[in-house]
Amino acid sequence: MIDSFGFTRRKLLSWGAVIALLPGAAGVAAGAMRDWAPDDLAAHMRDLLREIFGDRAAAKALGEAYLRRYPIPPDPADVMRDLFEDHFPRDASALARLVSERRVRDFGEGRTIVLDGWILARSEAQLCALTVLL
Amino acid sequence: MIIDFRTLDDGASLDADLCIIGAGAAGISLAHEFIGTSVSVCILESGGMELDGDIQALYEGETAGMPYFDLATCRLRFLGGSTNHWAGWCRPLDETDFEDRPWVSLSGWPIRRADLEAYYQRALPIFEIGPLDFDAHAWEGIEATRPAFDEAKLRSIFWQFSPPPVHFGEKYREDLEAASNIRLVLHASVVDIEMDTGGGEVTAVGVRSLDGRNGRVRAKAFVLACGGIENARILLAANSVEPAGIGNRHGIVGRYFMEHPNVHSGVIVTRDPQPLMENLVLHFRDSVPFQPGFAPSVDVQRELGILNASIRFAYEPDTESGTYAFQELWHGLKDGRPVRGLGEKIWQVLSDIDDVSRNVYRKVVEGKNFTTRPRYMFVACESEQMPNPDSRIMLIPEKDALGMNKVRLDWRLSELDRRTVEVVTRLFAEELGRTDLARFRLEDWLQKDSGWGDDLQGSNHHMGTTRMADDPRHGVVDRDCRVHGVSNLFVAGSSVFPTGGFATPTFTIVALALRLADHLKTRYG
Ligand SMILES: Cc1cc2nc3c(=O)[nH]c(=O)nc-3n(C[C@H](O)[C@H](O)[C@H](O)COP(=O)(O)OP(=O)(O)OC[C@H]3O[C@@H](n4cnc5c(N)ncnc54)[C@H](O)[C@@H]3O)c2cc1C
Repeated sequence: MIDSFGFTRRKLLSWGAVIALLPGAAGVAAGAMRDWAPDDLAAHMRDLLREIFGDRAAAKALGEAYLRRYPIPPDPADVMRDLFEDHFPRDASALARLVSERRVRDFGEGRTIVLDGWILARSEAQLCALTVLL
Repeated sequence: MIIDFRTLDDGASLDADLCIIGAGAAGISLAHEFIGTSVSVCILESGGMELDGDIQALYEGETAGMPYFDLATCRLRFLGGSTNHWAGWCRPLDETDFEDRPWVSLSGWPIRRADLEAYYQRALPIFEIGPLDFDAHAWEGIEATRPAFDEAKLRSIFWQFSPPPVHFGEKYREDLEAASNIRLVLHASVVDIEMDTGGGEVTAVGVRSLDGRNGRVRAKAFVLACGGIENARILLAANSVEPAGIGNRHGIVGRYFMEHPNVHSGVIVTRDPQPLMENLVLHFRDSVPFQPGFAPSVDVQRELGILNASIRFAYEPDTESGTYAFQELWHGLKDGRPVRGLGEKIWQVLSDIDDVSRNVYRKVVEGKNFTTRPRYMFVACESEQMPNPDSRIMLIPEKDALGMNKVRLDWRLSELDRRTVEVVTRLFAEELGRTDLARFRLEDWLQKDSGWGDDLQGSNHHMGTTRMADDPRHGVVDRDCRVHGVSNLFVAGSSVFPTGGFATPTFTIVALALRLADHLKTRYG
């Protein structure tokens, strides 16, 4: 069977690595977002995303699907603020933990988004969108 | 005693206290309750001991509406009825299934789950299953870990399997044959129900065999137990006194046909299939197979205005995996039969030796079952259907070989039926995501606003066509399964279910038959 991305079911399985995102990590540092200059923030986030997404192409595909919902692409700073509230992750493990917390909360409260059929936490979709926006 | 109707004289007349029409799960379990009592029982069974093409053809009919199985193959017409090919899944209805739910039109049974509890208990040994433990508590009796789903949203449910599925004809034939107060008449198709002139009492049923022989059976009481489609057909066709058919003054007979819509609703992806593969599959408890699944909690059903439904993890094994080949080789060796493609299988094992070693270790050291790597994992949803008067069985002019009108089944589903599948699937997806067990992708049809998946089918469960209600305007039989307005005609089987929950019906069919037996004993015993 072919899905709407043109992938086979076998390929879908390999997507698990991307969609199930990250293992949780402990002992992490988060800094207030206002401590970061906008350029540093974007550059830093780009690095973190590179670190956490094994399959960037898949994350991008989901990010693009998410952004198609917007007539004008949102400002990445707004997306980050919405995603991290005031706690910007300093490293990949901090990002992982924050995203994991948001994921549990989003799924638990039904804050989900359907992207090309995938049922994702809104926070996961936002993270994927950042791979496109940044 | 077993009699072949074709050996009796044409025009023969038989008498009994109780005449049971149909020897499937309902008819046999009912009759069995009378063994050794003072009640003389005559069971009329259309078929013989085995499948016969000409008799089976009496089940032919038309279908309309949602795609449905061929009516001549989705049930069997010989001793034991459809239990000759049923799959053995058992589960009682939930307490809420009996209750009046304001968001489900015409919901609510005249009886409650508590009225059936003792009969469910009595039904367990008939199916060779037990204990009466079909909900979250059952996790404790099996070697599996309950996923950390929120039970307040998605509660754990279980099915038990009759192992192997009890074939009622095979299992109970000897008991019936040996009983001095029971006559089981084979090749005896009931083609008519004769009433007194006022239409308030059945006097006899007309019987016919395919070789053209006719006869009648007179009794104090009659029980129709011919399955969810045929019960309605026989009532509708018996129109010599009541032009619209017996019990049909309010035009309900044949209406409200319900199934358990059965459809794949999505695929599961995960980095680690092991927790799903280990816990959400079949487990044994004292050699009875238990299958876990999930259902929306009662609060969720109420809050979201949905029906009851079940959702179950399933997977297709990767036939190219080493473990799959290893198991084939192992079973072949054990059973002493040749394995096809032996060299290829050995190569498959060797080239995937990590997977095989992991499983061998688990089996030998941890005592766990082999889990074949999945090719893909998916979710199967089997849900309740809302009672719908337009979903129905009706007679058509074409006749069968015995001269009875055939039926058309027009199976209709509603928007609520679809929404239920959608909501329950999303709840399952959310719990998979929240617990980080996996992510979920909706099947294409659920990404649209309406319509069903191509793989939608029924479950061979025919319910609702002679529904139970205290008010004759809303039902065909009363709480004792007696046809409204007829003093001595009763119905056994899932046709009396006013709503069908998601539970497979046969366990409840038998519980109701045992209850009916108690009732008839007090009236005619
Ligand atoms: C493939 C398949 C799988 C199934 N799997 C399951 C499952 O896993 N779990 C579950 O709960 N249910 C299952 N079912 C449904 C189950 O088989 C039925 O619910 C059950 O058999 C119904 O019992 P019954 O006695 O009401 O009807 P039946 O078992 O159909 O028996 C009716 C009897 O009446 C006889 N009869 C019919 N017309 C006449 C007549 N005019 N005169 C005299 N006799 C007549 C028939 O010959 C038959 O013997 C399955 C069904 C199928 C087809």
